Amino acid sequence: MATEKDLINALHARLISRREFLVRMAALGATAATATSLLSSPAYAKTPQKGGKITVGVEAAQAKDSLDPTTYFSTANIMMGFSVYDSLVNRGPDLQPIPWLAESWEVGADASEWIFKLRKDVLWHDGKPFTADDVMYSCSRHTREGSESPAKGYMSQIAEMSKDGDHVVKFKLSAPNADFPIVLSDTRVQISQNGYEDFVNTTIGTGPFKVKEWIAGSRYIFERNDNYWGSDGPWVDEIEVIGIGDITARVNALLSGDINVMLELDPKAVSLIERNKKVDLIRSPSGAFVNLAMMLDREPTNNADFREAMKYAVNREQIVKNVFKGYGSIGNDHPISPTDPYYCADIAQRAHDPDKARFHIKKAGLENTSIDLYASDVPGAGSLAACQVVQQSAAESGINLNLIQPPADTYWSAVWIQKPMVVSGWDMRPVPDLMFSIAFKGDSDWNETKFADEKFDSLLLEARSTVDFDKRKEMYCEMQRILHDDGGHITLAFRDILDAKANNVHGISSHPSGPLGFYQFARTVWIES
Amino acid sequence: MTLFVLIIQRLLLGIAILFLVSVLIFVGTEILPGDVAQAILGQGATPELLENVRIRLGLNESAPTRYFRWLRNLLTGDLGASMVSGADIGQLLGERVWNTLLLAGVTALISVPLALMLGLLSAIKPNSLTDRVISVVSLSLISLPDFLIAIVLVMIFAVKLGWLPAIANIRPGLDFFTVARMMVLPVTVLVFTVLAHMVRMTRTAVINVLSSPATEMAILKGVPRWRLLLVHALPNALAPIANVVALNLAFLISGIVVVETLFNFSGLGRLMVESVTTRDIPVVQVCAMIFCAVYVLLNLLADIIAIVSNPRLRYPK
Repeated sequence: MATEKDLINALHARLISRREFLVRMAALGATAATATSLLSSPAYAKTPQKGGKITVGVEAAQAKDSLDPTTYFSTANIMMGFSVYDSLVNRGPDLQPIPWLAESWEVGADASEWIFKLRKDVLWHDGKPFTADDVMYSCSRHTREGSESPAKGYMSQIAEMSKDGDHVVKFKLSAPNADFPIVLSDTRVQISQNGYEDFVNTTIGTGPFKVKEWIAGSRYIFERNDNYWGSDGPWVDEIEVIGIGDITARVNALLSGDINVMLELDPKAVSLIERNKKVDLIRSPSGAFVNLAMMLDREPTNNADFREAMKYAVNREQIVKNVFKGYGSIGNDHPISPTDPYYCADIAQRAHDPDKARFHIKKAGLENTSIDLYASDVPGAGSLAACQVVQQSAAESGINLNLIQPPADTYWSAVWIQKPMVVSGWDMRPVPDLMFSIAFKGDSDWNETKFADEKFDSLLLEARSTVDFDKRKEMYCEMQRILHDDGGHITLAFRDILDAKANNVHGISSHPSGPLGFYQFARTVWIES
Repeated sequence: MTLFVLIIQRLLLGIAILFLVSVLIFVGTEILPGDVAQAILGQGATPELLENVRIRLGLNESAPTRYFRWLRNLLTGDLGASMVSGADIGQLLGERVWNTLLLAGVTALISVPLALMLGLLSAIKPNSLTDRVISVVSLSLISLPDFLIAIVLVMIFAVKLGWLPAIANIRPGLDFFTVARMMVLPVTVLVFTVLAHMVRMTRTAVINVLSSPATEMAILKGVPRWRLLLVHALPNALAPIANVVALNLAFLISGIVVVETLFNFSGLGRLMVESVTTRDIPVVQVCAMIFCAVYVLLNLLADIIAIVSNPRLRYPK
């Protein structure tokens, strides 16, 4: 369910109309007077203006950045992708699928057949009309022989695609999946043109901006697509994305006006932004989290008492307060955040309990034994500091953690899913199914804790074909309980997504799924002159 | 004639060094854990995806095969393509080489004459007030880390006063004034970094010459002070000064990653560091070749200056 704030943001970003805003606010219990007064407050009453240039400072411009949706690499890369491409289905701030290049869809007999109707008014940047062939070709690029796409796993559920005329695509899935439309809202399933393969220097999309200049690793400039199919935006003439690796330099560039939008802020730098009147913080509570992954198939983390000890030894409140400066929330040792409609409130919150931790570590026979914890900031800003807090609070209970900081450039290949206990992190997935399938399903390549539970896996499959919300919630609740009790996952914190902008920049919404309005601020952003 | 032979000898030696460095760099990147496929895929890697990337990039072939293929291509003038982005390396380098040369050139144009002047000023009257002030200031500047100077300058001139941009995002098509404004802070930081070394060397070398019997003779002969310094002392002190200047210039081309990072300057140093983190061997190799060549050539130049300025070296016994 969208909160009042989500609605305000959605209105601000013009994801919803003023009328829809009033209706949905009323549904939330707001009086008409309140809602109308919100509408007329200066910040939301302004009409967007055309023109101007947005310069976005991002963490890094890398040679790896790509215009090929199947090889998107970083957050900044996905954001640039969304400025030139559209996806078939978009995702609202309430995590529900929104029609986008597909104007509507129908589910077939048992959620294994889906029929998508496409918009007819969409043109590619080169003037060609957008058709079903483009959709089929883009989707097949993820699953074809030799594909290097990280989306290959979940796109492989498409067993067959066919078209019915130029504007209807039918998907046949290998198994029922009630969440299929939201799968298509994944950040890598953007639609590129039929047959287009040469992405090195430019590309053709349907999105709100066209590529003006693209030199991977050094320069990215986009210009407004005046033939964009959407009615609201794009407004600014040009968007340039520059990588500024150093956090201090990035904040300084924003404060001095060299950039006017900044992607992803380190919680450490928040106070610099809050102190300065020329810039604003954009805060999006999110289901993105930082966690400890304890592997169940090797010493010493295969010891259930050790894991139990660790779960009681972590001081979650302290991590949120000290490391994330309050811009986050605590978790309950499963990946579903309290903002998620499927969050299971029946499971008691696990609290920091040094005595229980001491009891379990003794029982495991590992009291005062040195145990390695691999810590790094690679999984997300603050994860190293969070591990340091864990080390301290664990020491109170006689758990002796040896913090190892491995080299950053091989963290994912040499440490993650290799060492028994490491810090990890995940972006929010729009539905529990995607999170469970990727990181906890027994046979997933990304099963970082080597969790293997038959009941969990069978519930996962069962929930996929269950369309009824309550029944599904019951199943997901059971799965959260299994992970909470037996898993090797400790949620250190759900972290808010933090971005920043100059105060004359408007139209950037807050969205739980990703920074800068789910990466799509390009379409709606405008500058007040 | 001997000078000519020497230059040829040194150039041939330089080529041998380049070759050796290329082997070392290649071996070094092979020893590093992880490969370009893992770097490209990051957290998204699976055995199947890794295999697909490795096949596409030919990483499954043996190391010597890959090295010699690279060498063969290089000898035919083909720098190859970046493994990560697929972009042509020549194109990738073009702009950055130009940027780096611009930054190094402007810094050298300011710092070298300045250093010579300050060094001479110090040397005229060692331990005088002027000498002490110059020594203290230049040594303090070199003792402060360049990133600290950079951050302080940015805080003052970009954030607080708003006179200059905080980052130097240079690209083609910018007018001279904009580029000049962007260059002020990075050049200032670099001048501070390289100045002290050259000032101290100039001072020491000139003082050395000034205390020699030949200078004493000149003073007794009644040569004016300025003439003594510029015509008698400086040419004799030129060899060590040229060496220090050459080393500092080479540093300006290859070793200013910190300044490039802080000002977001798109230069060669950062390209090399970024390519190492992604294990993009062809790019690392070419950068290393360029840096090595710069060192070889600048040192050669310094030696030539030393020989030309010193008749004793010109006519070896």
